[in-house]
Amino acid sequence: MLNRIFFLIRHEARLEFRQQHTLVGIGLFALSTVYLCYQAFESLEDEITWNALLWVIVLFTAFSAVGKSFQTQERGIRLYLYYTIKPQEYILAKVFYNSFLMMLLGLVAFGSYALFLGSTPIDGKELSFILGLLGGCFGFATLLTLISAIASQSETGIGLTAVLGLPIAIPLIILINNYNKQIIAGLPLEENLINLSFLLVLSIAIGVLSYLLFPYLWRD
Amino acid sequence: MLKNWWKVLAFLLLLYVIAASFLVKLGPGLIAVDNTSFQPGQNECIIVGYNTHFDAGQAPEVYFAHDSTYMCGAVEEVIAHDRIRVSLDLPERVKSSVFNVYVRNTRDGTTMLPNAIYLEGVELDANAEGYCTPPVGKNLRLAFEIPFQPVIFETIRNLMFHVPMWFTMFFIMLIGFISSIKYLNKPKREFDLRAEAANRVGITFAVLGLITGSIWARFTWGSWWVNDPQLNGALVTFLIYVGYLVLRAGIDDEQKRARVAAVFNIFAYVILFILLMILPRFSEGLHPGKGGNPGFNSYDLDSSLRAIFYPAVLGWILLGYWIYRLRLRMNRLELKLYYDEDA
Repeated sequence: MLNRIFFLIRHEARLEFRQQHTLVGIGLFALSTVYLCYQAFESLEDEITWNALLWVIVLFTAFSAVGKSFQTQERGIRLYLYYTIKPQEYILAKVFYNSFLMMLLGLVAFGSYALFLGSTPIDGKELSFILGLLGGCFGFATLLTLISAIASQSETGIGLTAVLGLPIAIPLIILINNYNKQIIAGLPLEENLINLSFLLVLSIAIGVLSYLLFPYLWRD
Repeated sequence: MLKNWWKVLAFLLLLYVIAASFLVKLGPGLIAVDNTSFQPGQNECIIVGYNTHFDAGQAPEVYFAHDSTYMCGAVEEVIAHDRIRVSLDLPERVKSSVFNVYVRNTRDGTTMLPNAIYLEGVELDANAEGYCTPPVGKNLRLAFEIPFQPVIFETIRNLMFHVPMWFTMFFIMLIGFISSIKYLNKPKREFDLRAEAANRVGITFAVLGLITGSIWARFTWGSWWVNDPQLNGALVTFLIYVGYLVLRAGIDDEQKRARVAAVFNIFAYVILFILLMILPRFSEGLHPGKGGNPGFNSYDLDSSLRAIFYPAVLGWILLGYWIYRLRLRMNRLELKLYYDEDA
């Protein structure tokens, strides 16, 4: 089973790199959004605004990267996968792949954000901040994988991912925000693990639900 | 008639609950002290009560207390049924600088105002003297009245409406959740109709819960909405279930709609359970039910409040179930009509 999941992750990654336009497109999206914010704000003195803006960018990057996860599949490939692998393996591979992709994009977004708008609020606390960033990206990826699988069943298409996904993203954002606020305030990581662990618990709960529920979405 | 005894029960219970929660008087309590900072020597203040009877029977006794140490005040004048003038001879050395005020009389029992006075210019000393003997017994009253609570005051009556709304929502949505699980097990159209009806009614109760909660927040916390884990969870719940209806509207094929909606519903209920029942207990906020306590205990439910609150919960749940049954019958009829037109 693990073999097949690895194979599927490789397959997804290969697909993505082969059709370069999607990955480059999302990277471009993140970069230009950051640059847009840079032009609009020039410099950000306020720590809370700095943090909020970064997370808005990461969230919308997640929606454009993971939200289309199930939309771009060709019918032939879908049928082939349907007859060769189990749906559980497929959703796990998707969750893992999307998490990696999202972490990568999150780092890209954060890197360019720090480049243009500075990283003064988290100077000296970069590591714990990046830990939170990766946790948040993992949460978004697991959530949006399932949501995009559900939304892809509807004729309304990609708009539905936002309608269904944003409300559930709110608690994730709240947890990340609490974590970051305390990091910025200078609380050591050990005293701040509760928000991060809740984030992980929630993400894993979403992952388990995806594993259990995806087989029912898979029949078509 | 006998078949629908629970509908009669729901009606009677809610009639009783509405009458009781609006007509039963609020118990006595203390609202304010006009002079809050005391200095060594002679001090005087006016204590204001609510629904108290200071002028009835014997003159009230007044104590200033910290933990189990008491200082006795002298009642100078009973101004009105809710107003007394009290004096206190404060020693130089005391055990604490913050004291609660207790007023005790035969009619009202013991009423209390926490952290009512602050002492200035005193020396703190754990072995300080100058205390009087504590009053004997708790002087409990036996009366059917809604208990007086600081800050909440009369708005405590909203307990019979706001809290049962969420109980009912949970119960009705549980029906939807179970129906969705049943549907995935065995795709019968009936289960889908049940899930849809339940979630619609559940959303209605969520909206009512949000409205009653918002009104309560306005009159106790001072604003219509506050940033609190429980409130966030409630709003997210509402948004997720509206999303459920949007999702259904977007799929034309009947079986596919039922299947996808069932998947989303199961997902939504589990997430909602985590958000409303688990996360708020580990985080801080204004809403009762924090720090490992279920929402109940912190309300200090006393026996008269219980006698209204428990019937309220049962009554609202029964009413919710009743509405759900009506909605379900409507769904069935709509479907029948749809197929009859086809034929």
